Amino acid sequence: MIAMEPYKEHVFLSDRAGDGRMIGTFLLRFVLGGIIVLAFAALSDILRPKSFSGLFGAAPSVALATLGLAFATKGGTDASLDGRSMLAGAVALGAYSLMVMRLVWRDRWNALPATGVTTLLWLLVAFGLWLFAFR
Amino acid sequence: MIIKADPTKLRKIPWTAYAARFGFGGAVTVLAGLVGAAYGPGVGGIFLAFPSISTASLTLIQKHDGRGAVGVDAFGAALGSISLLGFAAVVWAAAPHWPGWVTLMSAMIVWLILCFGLWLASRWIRHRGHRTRKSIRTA
Repeated sequence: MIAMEPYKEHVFLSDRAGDGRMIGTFLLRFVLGGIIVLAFAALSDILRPKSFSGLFGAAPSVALATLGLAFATKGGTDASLDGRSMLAGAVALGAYSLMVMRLVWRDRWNALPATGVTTLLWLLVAFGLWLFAFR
Repeated sequence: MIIKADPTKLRKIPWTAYAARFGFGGAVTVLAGLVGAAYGPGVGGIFLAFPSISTASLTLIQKHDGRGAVGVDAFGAALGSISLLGFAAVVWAAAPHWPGWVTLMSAMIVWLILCFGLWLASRWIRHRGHRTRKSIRTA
């Protein structure tokens, strides 16, 4: 069992735990992330051919929202660490996409169960790779 | 090779799908923030490459364009994940030295160039394969 140390700058352990700013930050995160994902998904919808529009399925939507806020609030060093760990997530995203392709094309699965099951694969590959190579 | 944009497609998508994508994207971004706040940016960063758009879009693609289109879209996402590695590498290397907007802009440019390059390469490989098979058949 691998135990992960709580982050020292843990927002919930800080003195400002009850601060409305924390809720404000997460609300801003939610809106920013939602808008950017929506924008890239819309681009993916309107572009053809499908093999090209599919590229936007791996667009850095959550990354842009999170890194933008990380730069604004914590600075470049934290953003750099985010980027380093994102490498593990990106490899896992490749595995996720290939597995969805296989389940849908070869095994005739529907999109919903295929993406549901494959999200577990993403978690496994991303955290496994991070633990062994990026920790 | 022609890339086309058809904005009228957006009208055919129900508002519930937009709401679901917005909610899902927002939730994943908040989750990345919560994990980062609890365990540090090292762990939170993993979620920056969470398949949020694919998961939110593929069901809709199957409904509108069929199962075959889901596979093609997933293939595109597989190529895009290689581009995402480029994005992440630029952020990792440049973030401590460059201003935030320069870093993100540079990472986006690298992501876009890799996307176009990989997509063109994949088309070229597929086209070459077709030609080779055709010449074997006619020989």
